[in-house]
Amino acid sequence: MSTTQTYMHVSQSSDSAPLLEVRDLKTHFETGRGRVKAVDGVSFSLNKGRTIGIVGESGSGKTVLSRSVMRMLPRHGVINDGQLIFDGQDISDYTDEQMRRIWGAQIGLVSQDPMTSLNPVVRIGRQITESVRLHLKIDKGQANEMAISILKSVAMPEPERRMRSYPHELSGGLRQRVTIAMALACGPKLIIADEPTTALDVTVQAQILDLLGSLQRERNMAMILITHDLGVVSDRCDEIAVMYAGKIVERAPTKYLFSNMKMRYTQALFESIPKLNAPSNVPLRAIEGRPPDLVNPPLGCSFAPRCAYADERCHTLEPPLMAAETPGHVFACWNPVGGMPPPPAHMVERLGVKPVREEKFFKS
Amino acid sequence: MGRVIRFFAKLKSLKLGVGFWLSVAWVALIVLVAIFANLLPLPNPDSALEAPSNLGPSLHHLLGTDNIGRDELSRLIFGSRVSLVVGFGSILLGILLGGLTGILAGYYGKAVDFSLNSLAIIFLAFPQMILILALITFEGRSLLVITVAIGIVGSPLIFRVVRSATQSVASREYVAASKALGASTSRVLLKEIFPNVAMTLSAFVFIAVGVAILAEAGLSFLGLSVPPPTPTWGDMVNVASSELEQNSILWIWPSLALLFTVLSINVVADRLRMKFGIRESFL
Amino acid sequence: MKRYILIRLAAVVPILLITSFFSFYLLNLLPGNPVDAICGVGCTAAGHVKLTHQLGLDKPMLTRYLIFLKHALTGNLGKSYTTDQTVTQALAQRLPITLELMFLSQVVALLIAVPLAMATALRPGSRLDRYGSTFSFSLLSTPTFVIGVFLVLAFAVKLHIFPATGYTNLTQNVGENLKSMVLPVITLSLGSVAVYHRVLRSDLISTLQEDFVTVAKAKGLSTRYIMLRHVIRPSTLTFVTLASLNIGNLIGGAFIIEVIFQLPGIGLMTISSILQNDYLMVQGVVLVTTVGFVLLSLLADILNAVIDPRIRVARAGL
Repeated sequence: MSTTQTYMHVSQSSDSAPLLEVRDLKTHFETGRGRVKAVDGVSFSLNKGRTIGIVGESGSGKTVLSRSVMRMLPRHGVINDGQLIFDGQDISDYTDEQMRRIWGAQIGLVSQDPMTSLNPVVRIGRQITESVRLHLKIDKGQANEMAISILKSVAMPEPERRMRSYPHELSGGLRQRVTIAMALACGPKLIIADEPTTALDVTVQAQILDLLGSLQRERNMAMILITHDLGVVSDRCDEIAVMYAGKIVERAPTKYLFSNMKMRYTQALFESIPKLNAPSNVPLRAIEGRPPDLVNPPLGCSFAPRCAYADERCHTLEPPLMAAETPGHVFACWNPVGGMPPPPAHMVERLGVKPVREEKFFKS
Repeated sequence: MGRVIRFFAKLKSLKLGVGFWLSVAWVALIVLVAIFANLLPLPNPDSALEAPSNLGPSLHHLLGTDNIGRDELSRLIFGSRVSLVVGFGSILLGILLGGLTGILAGYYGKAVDFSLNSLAIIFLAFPQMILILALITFEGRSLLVITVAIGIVGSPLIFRVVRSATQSVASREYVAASKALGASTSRVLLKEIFPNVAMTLSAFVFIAVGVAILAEAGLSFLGLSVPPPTPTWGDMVNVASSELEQNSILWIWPSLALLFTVLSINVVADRLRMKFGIRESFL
Repeated sequence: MKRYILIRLAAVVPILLITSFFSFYLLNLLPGNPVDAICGVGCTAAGHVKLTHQLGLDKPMLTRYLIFLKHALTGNLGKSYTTDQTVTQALAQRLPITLELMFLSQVVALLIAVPLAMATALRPGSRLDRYGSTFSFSLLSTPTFVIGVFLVLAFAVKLHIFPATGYTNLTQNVGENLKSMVLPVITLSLGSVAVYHRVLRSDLISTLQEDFVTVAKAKGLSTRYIMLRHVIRPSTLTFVTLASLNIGNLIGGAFIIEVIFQLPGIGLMTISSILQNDYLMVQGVVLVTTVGFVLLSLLADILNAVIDPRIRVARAGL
């Protein structure tokens, strides 16, 4: 796959309409302490068959973002703003009733912990067939056959027998295969995987991610992969968005993010991943401090209190999303890694200068 | 003086709500009139036929008179004594029996726990009403027997609450740390475990007192509590219920007295439970 | 599943032996000697000894228990001192009335409490929820007999809709029987409504916060379907156990209600037996109610295993 293609699908100027467009999404909760800005002005778009990784610490708002995109948050005490366009329809103001035709059928959810996301008192078979029968309007026999074939496709051993099992009879890895089967059952166009491997043994994590990846390619589904682990998304996403305090602070095609990291927080996250090729005596760099209070976020850049490079401007003025040298790459930082980039390509274009081809960027 | 002000400021900062303080006030009122009933300017609660029977409320008899002309208000106030003595006395006994054994079972575990817990389970296998009835069948009906019977029946429940509270406290780190520092068993029990268990127990105790008052009221309604002429609220409802045709409001007074008292105690218990963050199912 | 039920059934036998011995022991060890009770005030020493021998009370404790057990197993619980009925006859005649009262009241209580709990759990903090909680909380603080007296006053004395007292046997006239049962059943059910609503509501609320409910919603299932298929079952575990424990309260309540409405069930019989020191009668009631109570707890355990497959595995080993 050429870099140009990678660039094309994340770009707004692409010809093919994106499957999902999120514009300035805001989700605020009214609490006793005040308004929690869990998601505060997030924008991104996702084309058919592509994957975006959303990375951040716990409490950065990534799970709320995923629920927000699905419009699955309670209506009471929640302020929702911004625009959501899914498969050509504006779902921003859809009621639960309207969303129910999309949930399960068009968007599938693979949730975090397979131990708690399966109903302990309902047989596996029913948990898969209930949505199939609802959305595809087929009878019980057909739904059962379909469920068995889906279980086969998630590499579940003895699928016929497993249909009659209860969740507690399966291991964690097998349970997560069931939740994936549940999410895929109706052939959705988009899968939202919320930390799909966090609760699993390390040995099983890679298997599950590989399974998700191959199913996604087979079925040409788009995926939002949410994780706190930059390592997980590094080779499985086309694009990565880094979230901090309810905002996207850096978003770039995967390869640019790793080759041309700009935002200091991304850098800190990257340095906190253990690396296999690093000498064993190199200490891991943990990020000092805690994520900010979302009721009273700090003035200026929300990462500034924890940032070693923060200066006065960082504490007073919030950095906007700025374009980096690499295409499709934005970041919000006053003191980025490697200094401020030159004016972005489209600005140059408008000034009548020929845009620089991205291949050249890498050589230089 | 400053101390008093600070005390009230602290109470205010607890934000327990108006309902809580109204409930506390009602219970305090009942306790006070029960204690000082003899000093109040009331007609003798037992003297029948002093006034016409089934009188409505009047200046002389604020709540009227019952079927044999006894003053209803006087009987109501003297009747609170039985409810309060049985309610608090039985639970006090229940705490002595169930609380002590519960702490021991929870703290020592193993054989002590197994034998005490088995005993509690066997006790709980009896319907409580039946057990109380069995006790009073053979012991006679007196204030002491009723109190002891309800206390004994309540003790296995208190045992179970205290036992599981002790178990959860005893497994915490600071208890292990205290033991490791060489604190004696009695010191660990008294200084570390008891204060924590007492917190859980305090909410439960009030609920239990409410249940005990209701149990006594039920017995006295059936005529199985302290025998007449001693006034009891349950018996007063019973007397009034046979006179509904002649006097249709008499039953209201003892009923309201019971309702307000038990409701107040439950409100206090519920607020305490919420303040201490105790799960409802735990009780 | 079958294995689980068999194991539980086997465990009931020793529990029944212990409780029956205990009820026997308790009634016999108490200082208030039944001989004193029967013999009365003007009892001579010789008469006392004779009566003790007649009643078999001079034999050792364990022997007496075994005799009692042998008789009990053949349905012989002795003879009432005050009426010429045997205890078994009296129980057979009275028990159906009390059971009908308890059964109907539980049906009514569930019909009110379950929908109320579902509606309030879906919107905690809503107006309905706040009213529902206050209603239950107040009901829990109200003595059963106060509700009973109020209903008698309102529907029998003032409105003359239902009879205040009197009982028609179910086999004689079903309509009349049900009519005489309306007020007693409502009275007894209200206390249970309060308990069931509170417990079921809080269990439903905690189940609704489970991940699998979010996942079910993400499948596009309707709220109604999720409630009925996914939420009710896992929420009923505490509830079933509680309902079986509540039987104890229910027996107490039934006794009081039988007195208010003059229903000739075992409650009325027990109370007159106590007042007349008819101790064999009381012993019979204690035995029957305790056995019934233990069997209902067993039923609750089995029901829980049917509801939650994990229990079958976890507890079958015990």
